[in-house]
Amino acid sequence: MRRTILEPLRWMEELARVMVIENGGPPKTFLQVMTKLNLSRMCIGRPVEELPRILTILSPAHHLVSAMALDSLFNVTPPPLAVNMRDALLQTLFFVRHMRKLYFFLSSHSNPFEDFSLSQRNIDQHSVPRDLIDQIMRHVALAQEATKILGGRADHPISAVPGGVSRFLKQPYYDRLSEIGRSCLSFSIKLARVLADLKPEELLYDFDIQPILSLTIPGNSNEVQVSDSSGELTCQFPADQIFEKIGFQKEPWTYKPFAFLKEKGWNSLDSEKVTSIYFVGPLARLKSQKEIGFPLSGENWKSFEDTFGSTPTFGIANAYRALQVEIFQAAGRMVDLYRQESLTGPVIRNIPTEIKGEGFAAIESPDGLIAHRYKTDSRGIVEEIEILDSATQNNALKCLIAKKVVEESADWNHDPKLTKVRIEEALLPF
Amino acid sequence: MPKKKLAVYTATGCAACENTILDIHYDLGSLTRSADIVFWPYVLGSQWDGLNEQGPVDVCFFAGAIRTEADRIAAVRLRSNSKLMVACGACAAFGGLPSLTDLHPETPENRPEHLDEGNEFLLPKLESRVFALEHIVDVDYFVPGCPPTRDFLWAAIQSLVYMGDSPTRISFTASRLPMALAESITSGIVPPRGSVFAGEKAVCASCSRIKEEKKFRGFYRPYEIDPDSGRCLLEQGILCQGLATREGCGGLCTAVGAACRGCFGKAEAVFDPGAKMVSAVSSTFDSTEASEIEGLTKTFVDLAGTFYRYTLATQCALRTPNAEEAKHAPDNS
Amino acid sequence: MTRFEPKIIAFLCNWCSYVAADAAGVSRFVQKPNVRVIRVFCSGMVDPSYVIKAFASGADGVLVAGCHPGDCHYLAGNIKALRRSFLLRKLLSELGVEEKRFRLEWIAASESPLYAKLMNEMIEDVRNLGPCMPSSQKPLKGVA
Repeated sequence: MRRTILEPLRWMEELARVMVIENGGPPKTFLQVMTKLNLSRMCIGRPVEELPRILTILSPAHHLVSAMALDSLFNVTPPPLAVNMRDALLQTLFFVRHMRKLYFFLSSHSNPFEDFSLSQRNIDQHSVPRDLIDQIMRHVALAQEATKILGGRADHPISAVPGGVSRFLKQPYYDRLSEIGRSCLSFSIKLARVLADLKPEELLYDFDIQPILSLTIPGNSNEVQVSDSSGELTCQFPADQIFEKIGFQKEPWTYKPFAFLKEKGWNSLDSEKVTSIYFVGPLARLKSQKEIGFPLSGENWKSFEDTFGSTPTFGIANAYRALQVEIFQAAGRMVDLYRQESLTGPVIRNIPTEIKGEGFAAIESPDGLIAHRYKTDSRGIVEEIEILDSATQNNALKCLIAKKVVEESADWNHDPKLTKVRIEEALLPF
Repeated sequence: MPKKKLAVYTATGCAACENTILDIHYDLGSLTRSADIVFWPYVLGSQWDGLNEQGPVDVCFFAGAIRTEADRIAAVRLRSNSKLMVACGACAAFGGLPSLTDLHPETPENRPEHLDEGNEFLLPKLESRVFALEHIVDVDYFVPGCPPTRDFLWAAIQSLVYMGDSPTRISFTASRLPMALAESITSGIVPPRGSVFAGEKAVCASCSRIKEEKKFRGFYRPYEIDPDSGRCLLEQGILCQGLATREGCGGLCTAVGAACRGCFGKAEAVFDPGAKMVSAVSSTFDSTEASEIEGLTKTFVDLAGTFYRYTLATQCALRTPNAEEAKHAPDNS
Repeated sequence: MTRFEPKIIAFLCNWCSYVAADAAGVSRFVQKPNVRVIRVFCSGMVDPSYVIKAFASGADGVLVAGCHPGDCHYLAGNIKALRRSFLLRKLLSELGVEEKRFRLEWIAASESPLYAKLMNEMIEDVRNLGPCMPSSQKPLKGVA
């Protein structure tokens, strides 16, 4: 038996590696997540209102979904101002997250921290203009400033509280926000053009992934939609049933469980046809959307339609395009929500008067659908939590991708480093 | 001046510390003539064998808590390869949020799972508890915060890279640091081991809220009231840990109307943040009647999880692991 | 197996309980040898961190004793101690230190029999509870 380990994987939020085991026959590939946080042990016994601040450890969007779950737990409706502020924060998080991924992708063939004079010498056909990479990071920094204004802190926001947000904005912030919004929008238009010229499929090892289902919550609805690989709706159910519909499979080789649809039963990842696993995220949203709420003129929309056809195929390059489409959408929404009219109002939060004992919320985060459910005692002390994280849901897909890269590159063990890079680039947009 | 070599690594935690370093990217670009980032798996995809080829690293920024055997190995490896080791962020410095898992009462059902013997997939075993970096290896400096603020992280990077060599950069950086630290870096002397790149006083010193006499007859959970803007949160009955916590964030959370939870760790003069908070909060009780005080105390919930939110592994005097416990890797049986 | 001998740290007020403890010795009341006395000038100066440090350094029980309410040499120091005791006991119990291990008592200078009785009672209580957190006898250095 021969083991090959490719580690540590680049751009993964958690420590992860790929292990390939050859034992005669075709190689077996495992994507291993090497650690776990044990969130329920962290949260049980805490006062429930602290959860938004604790669970941002998963990603900033978990702060928002957690606050929404608290709204339902305390049976309180946030005022429109608070809803807008949270939404503005969410859109900014989309922008930051996707921009960072594009930054990683575009700078993957060069070292962005290299001495400038050296990096000029090392230019090859893969290199992306350094200027573009710097501009991406400049806009990430701008958007981070906006998240700091809206969320209090950039990476672990704190402003969402049960029933609203914790403070009003001040005048200088409105001006700054609209500046940021405009700048981000105009850059996202530019980025779209540059990316179309760069052709992501030529920058990476592009391939189609075997068709699996996808889960999304479209628009502001409260329905989870399950779509097949062609984007056709196969079934839908109310969002608050999601924890009943989804099961978690544990495997001995990774700390991350696999989410699957319970009614179809778990199939091993090795089986020829996998029916119960699914994925979430930008590409899932793009595939299931019939129409994209585009903030821009029809002309731009048309150019996208030309690139994608009616539904984008399930491939790596398209996943990157999906990021870019969402950057576009997010920037448009940001400009809209950053207007002073959207972010002013008489009330910032409604004070809860009761504790229902159970709270639930689900939203589309940058990386895909996420959901929280809490149970508390009468004093609001957490007794039970359930969390659906996008990484758990995409775990199966990521394993399939790693497997596929190893299987497709016949010469993978002559150049394991190249295989590692291919896997990393393929996992990044999900 | 020969170029310095930097390394960045995250064990168990989240990517926020590394993202904070990325956010200073624009400034970081200005470092390229004086320093190279030679090892950063998250962004550069660096591999472990590459680290050995590089030779010794000058400064290593280590983020994340030690939760698994793999984290421990990484910490030991980076320590032996680096001249200076910096614990970056609350997880590496104090155990951070992951260490909250150790507060949960240990029963057979929720004991951390250990995997079966002879696991062919070599999945790293979980440690018996969550450790901070200093429990495993010697740590030279600390940059606290969850995540650290851009300013202090940048100050730490600049000071350790230039160390007296570029007066203009250093003088700006030094203006933000505590005096002892600032003096040593401007004169090019390595700051004393154990220095913390943050303020010395408590968060209250930089919090913009107005503090008057602290007396309260009732305690409120943060969801129960909408605190007045501009007035001290503790005076309004909300548990805020600013007075036991090291300054440096500039009162980020209190400025947004959220109470401090101590992600910078305890202030220099504090022995144990929980003890300090107990003393501070109880002295504000406006009562001399035992029964009344007892009633007031009953309204408080989850003191340990609040006072030691980010610092359970190192600063809770009753919970710090003993030397034996930290030395041993998890049992392989 | 040898019997477990608990270590009790007693913070005694200079003006009352310390005198009582002294008198208890002079009067030859039977007392068990498990107590380490620390004389303080007022029970009000016993900061919660003293108590926590005592437990962290291996004490199995901590007694804080001061003057009866109203008798404080410094007007209201003992009331300060009283105010802190409830929250401190709550924090200690959340960290796994049982309630009986930490006591706050009022002992006047003349009450030496009471002192001896309370001490013996507390030693037995703590003996029954066993050693306090046997896993952390030797805490590492604190951060910075």
